[in-house]
Amino acid sequence: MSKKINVMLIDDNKIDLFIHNEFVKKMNVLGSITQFCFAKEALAFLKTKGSDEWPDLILLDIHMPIMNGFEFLDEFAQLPVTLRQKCSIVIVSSSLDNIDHAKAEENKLVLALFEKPLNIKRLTEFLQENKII
Amino acid sequence: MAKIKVLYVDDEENNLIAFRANFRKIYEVYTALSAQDALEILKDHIIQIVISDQRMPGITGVEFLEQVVDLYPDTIRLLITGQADIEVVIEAINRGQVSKYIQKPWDWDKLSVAIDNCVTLYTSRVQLKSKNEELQKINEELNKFVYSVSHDLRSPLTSILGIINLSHLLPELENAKPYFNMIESRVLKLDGLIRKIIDYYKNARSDEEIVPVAFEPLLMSVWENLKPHDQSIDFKLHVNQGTTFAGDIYRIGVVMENLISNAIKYQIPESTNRHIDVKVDVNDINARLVISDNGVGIKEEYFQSIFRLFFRTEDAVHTEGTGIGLYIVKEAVDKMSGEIILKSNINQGTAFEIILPNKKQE
Repeated sequence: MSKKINVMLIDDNKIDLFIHNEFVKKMNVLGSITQFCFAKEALAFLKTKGSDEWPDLILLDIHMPIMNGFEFLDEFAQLPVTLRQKCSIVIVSSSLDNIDHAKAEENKLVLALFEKPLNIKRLTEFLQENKII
Repeated sequence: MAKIKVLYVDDEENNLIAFRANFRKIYEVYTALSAQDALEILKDHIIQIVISDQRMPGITGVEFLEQVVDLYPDTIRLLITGQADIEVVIEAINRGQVSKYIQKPWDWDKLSVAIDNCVTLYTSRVQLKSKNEELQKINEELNKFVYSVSHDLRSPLTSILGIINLSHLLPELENAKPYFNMIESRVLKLDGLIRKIIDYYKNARSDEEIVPVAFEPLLMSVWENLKPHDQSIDFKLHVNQGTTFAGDIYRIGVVMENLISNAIKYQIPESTNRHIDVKVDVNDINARLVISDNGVGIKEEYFQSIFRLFFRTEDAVHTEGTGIGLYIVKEAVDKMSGEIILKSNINQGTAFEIILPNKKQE
């Protein structure tokens, strides 16, 4: 695995951000990593950055204050397609609500939903299968 | 409460004057000499009860009330009619255009009772409607509450599990591994309990959602999620499904998850030949699922009580059962109008047979 990718983590819980950060580091594929507690700030970041600084992968939480994961996706869909198309989004959530799962499945921007705690082996396999890493 | 508004339509002006004199103290009375005038009044006022004579020039009472029901379905409609029109009236009642009728000749007492009845009907409908709306609101709030509480309860647990997973990747923490494993098992127990409570809640409150069910992939994925890491159990799945089965895939999943996880939990610890067999036979009428193991078995005296909420056998205490699983199984099978049959012998094994009706015709 020589491919280096940029990863963005969005989660209102700092400990989960830390865990996901460590996991991504272990995957040994890292270009850069950016972390956000608030989806709004992540969005602002994406709006100001050019293609080389854009993430290839976003791990996105659903239940967050101010702007939740789905609201983030709605805003994300408005960003230029040229930037969006190189970026894969994986939802990571501890929600058991069928409605959340169905919404994630319906959303074309979402590649997959992983339940917390994140299983690093499964995520790595999944990303390899989808040629993201 | 504000006065009930009553509109009376009759082409005889004397009747209208007398009506007003009789009822104006009890009701807010509106009168009209023709259907056309009446519709004008209905446009400007929220009327609860509409009373109409059947015989009017140009339009019958039934025809008029037919227009009223389309425009103002919440009104209670009372028809005054003679013997000759009785069949028309019956039809109008059956079609819902007329709520009540009184027959000629009528007097003020008779009419007064009839209007009283209309008022009762109206108020009970209003109450029912507002109760329904209230219930719907409570339902929605409860759903929101349950899911946000369950999420907020689970979220710290998943963080703890995440940290434990992370610790397994660090060689310098090797000595602490047994402690992490103990923490993990207690956290998993709590997480399992929260999941089961949500399953219970979903089963109790949601209606059946019928979709085509392919048993082979469904049961394989249930097994993949549950199977022990050490591959110490020989799992055999035999599905004989030559026809479409329609059923509630969510509830079937919950039932099979609970039964298979029990079959894994209640193996004989020292046994080296552990197996779980799942057989499924599907035909146009039903699906028969048999989950059998060669585990510790269940005492016959417990055959009834194991399906009770929070009931745990001695074995369940050792394996940290929650006492919810089989209760959910029973509730879910009942909800699908299915059947559950238990056979078990101590130290030989247990077989649960589930029979579920095939709902593809419905």
